[in-house]
Amino acid sequence: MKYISLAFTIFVLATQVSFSKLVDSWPLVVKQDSMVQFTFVLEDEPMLQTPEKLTLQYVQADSVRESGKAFGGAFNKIEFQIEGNKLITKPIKIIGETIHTLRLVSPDAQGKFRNPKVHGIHFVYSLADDLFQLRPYRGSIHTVLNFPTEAEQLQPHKLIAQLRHSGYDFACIADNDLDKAKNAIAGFPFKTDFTLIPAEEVFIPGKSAKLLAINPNTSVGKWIAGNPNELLKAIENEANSLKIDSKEFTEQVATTHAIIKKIKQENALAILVHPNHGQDDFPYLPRPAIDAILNARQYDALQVAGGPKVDLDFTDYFELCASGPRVPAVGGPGFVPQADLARSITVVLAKSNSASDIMSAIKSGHVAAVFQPPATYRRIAADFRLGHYFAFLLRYYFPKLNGTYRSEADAFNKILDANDEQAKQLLPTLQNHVNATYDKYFAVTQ
Amino acid sequence: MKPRKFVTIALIVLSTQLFAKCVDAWPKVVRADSSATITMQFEEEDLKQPDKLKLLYYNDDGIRADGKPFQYATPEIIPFEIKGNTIVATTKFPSETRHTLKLVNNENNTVADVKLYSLKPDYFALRPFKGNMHMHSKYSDGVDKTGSIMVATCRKVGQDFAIETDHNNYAGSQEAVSTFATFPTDMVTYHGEEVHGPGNGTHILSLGATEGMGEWFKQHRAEYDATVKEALAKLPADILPKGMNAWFVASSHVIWDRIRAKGGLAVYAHPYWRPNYRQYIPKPISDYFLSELYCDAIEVVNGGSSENTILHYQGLRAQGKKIPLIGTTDAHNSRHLAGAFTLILSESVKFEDLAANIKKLNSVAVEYVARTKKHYVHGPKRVSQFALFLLEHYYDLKHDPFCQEEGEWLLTLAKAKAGELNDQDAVDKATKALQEAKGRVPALFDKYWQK
Repeated sequence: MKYISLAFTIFVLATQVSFSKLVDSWPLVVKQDSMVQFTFVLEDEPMLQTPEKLTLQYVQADSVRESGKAFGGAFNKIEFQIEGNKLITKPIKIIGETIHTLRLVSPDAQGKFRNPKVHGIHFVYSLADDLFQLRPYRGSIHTVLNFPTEAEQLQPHKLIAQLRHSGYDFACIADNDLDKAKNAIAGFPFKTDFTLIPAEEVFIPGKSAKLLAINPNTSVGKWIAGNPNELLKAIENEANSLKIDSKEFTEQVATTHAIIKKIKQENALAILVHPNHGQDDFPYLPRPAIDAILNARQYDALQVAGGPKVDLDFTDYFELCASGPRVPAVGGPGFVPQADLARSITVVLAKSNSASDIMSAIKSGHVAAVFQPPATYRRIAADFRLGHYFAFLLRYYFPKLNGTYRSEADAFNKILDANDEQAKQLLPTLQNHVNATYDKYFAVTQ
Repeated sequence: MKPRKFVTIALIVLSTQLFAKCVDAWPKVVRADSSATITMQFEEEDLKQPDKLKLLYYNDDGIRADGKPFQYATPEIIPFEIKGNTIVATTKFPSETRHTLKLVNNENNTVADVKLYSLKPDYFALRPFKGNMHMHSKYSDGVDKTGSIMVATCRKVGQDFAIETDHNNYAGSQEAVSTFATFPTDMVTYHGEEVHGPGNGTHILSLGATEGMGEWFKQHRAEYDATVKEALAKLPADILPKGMNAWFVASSHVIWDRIRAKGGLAVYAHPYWRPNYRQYIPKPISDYFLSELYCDAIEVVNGGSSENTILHYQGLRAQGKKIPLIGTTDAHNSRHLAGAFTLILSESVKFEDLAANIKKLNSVAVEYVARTKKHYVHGPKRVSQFALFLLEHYYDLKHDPFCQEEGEWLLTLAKAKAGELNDQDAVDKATKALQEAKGRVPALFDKYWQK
């Protein structure tokens, strides 16, 4: 029965969508309320010879027409012209901040459009100017230098190649030792678009929450280890401003706040690491202390995706947003098998892929934590506006970069393993791909 | 594989086989901040050497019974007694959280790992019920012949109640309610319908109402039109952006009011359903419904259109709104009934109690991914956290296997009633099995909730 259903599904799909000849189409992201011309590139499409039989349909996901009326069940018909294997639309006005669909169809055997033959579908996102000005990047805010099993361990350079292979535009290499992270990055022998940011995970067992210091001037971990008196003084100062009944919790919250302050003094971002982390179900800090730290919101961002109890971390994040100002949410794989490296990520909207722009984007809240569980859709920790946009980018835009990133990662590995000459030649040609992809798929502002 | 590695793995496997014999433990849910006696039952276990065993205790909050924090990664050792093949321990369970009792031997291997949950009095007084409240049969556009086949299948996938909701058709649920009244079962079903009023494409779940809305539209169309016109006249002129049809709002208000007047719960269904790539209700109207919350609840999880609704729901919560929610499959085929449900903490499985507790925010919408056997819970933190515990540590033990058995028997009866099965012997056997099984699922609360 399973195979009969499968065969039936394939048959139905085959009747609905002809084997797709649409090989490319752009732009993907446009400024809202602008006039936009779309280009479809079709390959071996016989229908291009009879353009009169083709119809380009348009509908907006919010179901609102330019006139302000609802789309109902109808599509708008869009005029176009054919130039070789390209179909170019007349400029159309794209309104609202939402998804739009352009569908190239021809009528069914009865000459009707109820179940038309579909030759290609192009999805578009329109954005208000504030977000349209910013560029999207995928990254990890929390990458460690080792894996859970012996067999999976990689040299730092190979790990960085593996991260690129997983589709990252940037990665914070965050081990317990800042020097290790800095050495891993400094020793990476290739000049690429891949932004690598040194970081460190800071933690006093039983005394503080786990924190990440992203790109600190000097090691916060070393400061903690080497300056007990200064730390004690900082904790006392913090404790004086807290109003918590329990002495133990006061100490834990004050210690965490003192470390956050130090991280900020080092011009670094202070990230509170997945709050439900623990050892064998034993929490690393008592819940009242974690709650007090969460609610005080002194950290710059909360790592929501990437902990061992991601369900509870998402629950905490949304509860926190429901009880006060929204906090920026970030993600990163942390200590996971290689196969899960791309499951927990951060998506930012930043001016550029530089470390400082990415950090500013996180701080200003132009960021989301994304968790991709197996066999179901993504979970996004963000407000609706960003979450809706990021879900679109993750489906339709970011995958366009994957091929180049994999080629780049393969080149890294070939050079590292065998000093491969071809790979050396290839590597420079793969650079600036992020900007080129952006330029192609994001419409020029009008 | 090297021989040493093989021997190590074999020893680990063997040790887990030898010791993992705790077959049951109760209660699973206890009162917060009070003492409870926990019984761990073992099968064929030599329990006569208590000096070799230690019972460790800790909890997810990291707080001891005296209110002080545990030392980092240091559980308490608590006393226990051996009674036959059981281990009995009494301790205080602080706070509202998940607790771990771990029995280890002198080599620190885990013999048993028991999880339980403590609840504050308001939640301890309630019991969890799982149910699906949005599904279709041939009474509208579903595949299965009757609502009772759908409801029986819901039992099979572990649910305590289900509501058939055919499009503008109350009869589908009437069939299920009247059929189930003749079955010896604890599975319950109520009247329901997915309503769309004339001139209004909004899909509204009418749950538990004493009358069909579809029938009202057909038999009293003039009354419906007049009532909507009256409501329309009362709406502020600028309620929607220019171009949007305020009839949708007026009609929905009228329908929601009528559902409530008939004792039902009115739910705004699948706000982000996008057939043909566009929202089935224009976003300005949908956003208005979501912000005004004139309905009783939002269907936050619905089969395949949940992603955006979940984001929107959490966005509304971030604005300080209190949003009652449900999760459903919207299945049009009984094969698709396992993917979502609502878990409600309620005094009982009576409709009035379930509806009241949805309104009190005592429910969560749950998605279930069969391939990974993983649940995803959406709702307020307190109830979500407890639901996650139940889904991880309670339902699989007895509740769901019992329901699965009963569901098979109920399906036999429902199919026979629908004329799809002609086997009196199978019907007799199923009836007898159901009679014998009646009461065992509700009795789980007696065993697994602290007395």
